[in-house]
Amino acid sequence: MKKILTIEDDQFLKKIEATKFSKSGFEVETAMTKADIDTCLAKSIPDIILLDIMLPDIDGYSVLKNLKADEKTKAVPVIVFSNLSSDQDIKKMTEAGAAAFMIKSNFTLDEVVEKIHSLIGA
Amino acid sequence: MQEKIDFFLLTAHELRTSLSAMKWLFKMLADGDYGALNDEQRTAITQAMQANDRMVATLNNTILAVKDTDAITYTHLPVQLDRLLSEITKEFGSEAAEKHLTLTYHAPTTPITIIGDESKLRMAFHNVIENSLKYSNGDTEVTVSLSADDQAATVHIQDHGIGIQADQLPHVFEKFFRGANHIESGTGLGLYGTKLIIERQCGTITIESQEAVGTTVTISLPLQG
Repeated sequence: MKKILTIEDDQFLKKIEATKFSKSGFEVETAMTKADIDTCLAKSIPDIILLDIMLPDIDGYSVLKNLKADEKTKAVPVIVFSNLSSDQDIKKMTEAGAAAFMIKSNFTLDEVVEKIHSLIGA
Repeated sequence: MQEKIDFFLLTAHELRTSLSAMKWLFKMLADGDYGALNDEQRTAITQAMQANDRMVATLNNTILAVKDTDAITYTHLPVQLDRLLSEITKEFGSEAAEKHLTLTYHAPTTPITIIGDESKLRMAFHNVIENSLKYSNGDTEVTVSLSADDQAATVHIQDHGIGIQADQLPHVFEKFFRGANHIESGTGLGLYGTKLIIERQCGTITIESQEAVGTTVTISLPLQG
């Protein structure tokens, strides 16, 4: 079973995402803070990461830079999944190594699942 | 002024969070993830999804219009146009069926990839197809077709709807313009934003229309961006 780590600060959205991804056959881990992220990654490396930009104690850009600088996680595809849509945000995250940038309100979770499959297989 | 724009964008972000939750939950409900629905319930959820999509589109168009467009940067990445149009027409399937319209996508025989900004192109095509459905009469067809030559990809979106009065045609891409015969709600920002998006990607958009006959929008985009 492929494993997704969703890094999301909104409790409501996090719960819906976890429900949908579990129903779609993924093992789901969720994190919100830097400590959560470190704990999850210390436990196991996910197959893919969904990363929000606005987080409580660290921003998504820093998280992405850290992931791409770490030998253990640099090959893990990261989908930036945010409701921020400024061109600077998209450019910055793409240049930092994001595999995709998806604006939450523009996509259903089925479409996110399709994108995940396209990046890591079924 | 910049402070006001920043405040608006922050508010838009908050609105999008709630709209995302609704979009996802409505879709999961419609798919039966929370149990089977009867026909009446499914119809109600489908209508809620459409209302949600309209709110998202309105918000996206408003964000585009409010931003200083000169400051907006566009990504220049491969975009598989045939796939993008297939996805968008699929999204409008239930809305078309509800209005007894046939929405047909004539895909090319081979994939067509351009260099551009997928999220903005998605918004542009979404706006035009949504307009065609809005202003179509029942039991007619809306067609979306894609073709390409060596230089450019061309998309035609044709409807057989109420059309646009000749004297109003030159104004349809102006900010806040609403046709005199408009029958649906709207902000007058959709085609304005669409033209901005297409032209910023070195493309062209033209519109031909005849009142009570229909409208054809033609969008041409260079293959190399």
